[in-house]
Amino acid sequence: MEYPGRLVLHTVCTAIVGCAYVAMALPKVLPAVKDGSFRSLTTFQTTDTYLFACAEIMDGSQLLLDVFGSLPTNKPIGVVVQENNAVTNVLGMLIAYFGWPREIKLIANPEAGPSPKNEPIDPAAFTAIFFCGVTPPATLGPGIRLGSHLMFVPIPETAVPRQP
Amino acid sequence: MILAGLVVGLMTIFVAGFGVTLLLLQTAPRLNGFECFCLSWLFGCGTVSVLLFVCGTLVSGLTLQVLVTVCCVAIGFWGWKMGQRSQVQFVFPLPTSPMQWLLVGVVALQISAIFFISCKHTLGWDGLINWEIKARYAFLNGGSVPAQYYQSDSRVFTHPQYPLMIPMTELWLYLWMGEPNQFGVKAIFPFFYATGATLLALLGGRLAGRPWPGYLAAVLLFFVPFITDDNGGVVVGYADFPLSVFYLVAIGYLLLFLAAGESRHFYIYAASLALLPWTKREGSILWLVGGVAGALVLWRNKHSYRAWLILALTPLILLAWRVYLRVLQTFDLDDFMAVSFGTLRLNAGRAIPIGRELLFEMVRLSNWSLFWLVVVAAFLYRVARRKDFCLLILFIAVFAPIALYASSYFFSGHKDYLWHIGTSLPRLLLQMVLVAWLVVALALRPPDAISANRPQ
Repeated sequence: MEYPGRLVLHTVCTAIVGCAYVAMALPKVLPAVKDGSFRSLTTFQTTDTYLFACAEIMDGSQLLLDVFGSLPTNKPIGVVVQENNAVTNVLGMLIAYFGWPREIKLIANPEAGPSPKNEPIDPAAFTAIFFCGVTPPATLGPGIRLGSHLMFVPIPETAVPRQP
Repeated sequence: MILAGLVVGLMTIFVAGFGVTLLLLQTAPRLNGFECFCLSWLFGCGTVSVLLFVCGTLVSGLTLQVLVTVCCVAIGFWGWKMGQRSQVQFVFPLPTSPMQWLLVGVVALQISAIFFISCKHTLGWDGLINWEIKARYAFLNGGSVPAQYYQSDSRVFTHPQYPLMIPMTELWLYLWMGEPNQFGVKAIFPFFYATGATLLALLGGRLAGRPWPGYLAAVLLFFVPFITDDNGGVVVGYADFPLSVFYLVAIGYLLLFLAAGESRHFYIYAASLALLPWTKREGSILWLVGGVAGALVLWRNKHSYRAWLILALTPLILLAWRVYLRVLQTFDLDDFMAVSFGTLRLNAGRAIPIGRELLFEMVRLSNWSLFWLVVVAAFLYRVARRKDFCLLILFIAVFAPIALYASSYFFSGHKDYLWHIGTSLPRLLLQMVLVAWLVVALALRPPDAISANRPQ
């Protein structure tokens, strides 16, 4: 060995830096290993978890698939979400995820209630409208509640007057 | 039935990748079995995804599944025959000391832990909405992503222009499982960790001249907190870690080629480089950096025109994908403004905030612990001990993408570009983590081994 002193210094420095690195990392890495539990190991493990977190719907994926299965495919689906509200935006995108192959039109509403500022919704353009964290306008009739932040209004095939 | 389908799906990926690996490495008299296994996974994902994409434009359903399976088996058989003809021997080198056994045992435990954590986690948001969604729609459409998906603005938030390596690999498992199973599909990602850690150990050991620096780097990899993070790590189905593994293979084998001049290393480098833009859109930037590094090595060692030709062919997949998107007239979200000098001048004031955010991110202990500080220290230490071309290539490979990624925020189209940086920068940095560990492995080489500059 040519440089025993340098080798010792190299080994000591490596050990110190390595231990410091691992010690700093452990508070974040250990919980990743220990925390959490096995959720349902099902086909819709991910989407069910998101739907439960956002709208408290159990087996939400299958519920949405059933809802979409009952709707005609000739017109798009409207999805009204609250502007700048992450939870309702996530819900809106999950509805789009399950809505395939239907066209989806995401409509951002500035408020939780039916807002006078937003662009009027033309119900005749949709087969159904989902409201994520937004109250449906009274003119559309009573909606069907699917979850805590999710309502859905099927639009009958007959002509629907444009809401004011 | 679902589990059996999953196993068969994974096996066909390995068979196809094994064939490709043997075709690329057939000139070697002895092949490391662990290395072949890892490369088989990577090139298997590449092969299956390209085959599904191409064949999916011609046939669908069961015909597509059978056709791709036949192709996978045929490639595997072809590689095996070529290997036999070249009288390739497989070796499985085992650790030679108790310390090495301990390090290898820890790496094996860590790989098991990643499989375990992955089972507990769901897919992350981007893993679902940017990647899995394409696999699901392709499955529902009989095996190809429908043209309607690209041409409609309904689902523009899912980034239709993102490349298809991950979605097509997921689709392959869906076809074998018989349903778009969000739990089974997560099996893909721990395999990327296993291949990344193993190849880091092998490449780090070879470049350092002895095995233990590679093993130690692989052990320490697990302690990068962002790797197990649920906002972009390995366990949530994002494409950044797979991209990181392909980048490691490209740069690692380029360095072996630089040291030993064996053409088979260059073939592996070129194949990995070609797959970078197929893995994630940012792969184009890594392809550019890796390509420049490759060109520097070829220019320095005055290699033949054949190597230059192979390098020139690496953007083929990228170009084909861009043409496909252009033909389909795809919608996509514009996260970035058009790159122009005017925009750069307009946003010049962002320079200091971008630099500050980059610096803060790199020293954020909750994401990286001391990792980036260790990398910088390893560079400086290695430069002080010995300056060589290998280190220059590694410097370019680690820091040029970081500089390019940071520069891209001058063109961020988001009103709050700092939010854009905060949400995307950690994932971008993850793409360089494995290559950066090579620097640490090189620096770990003890002073007495300094003259051993040829890989074993």
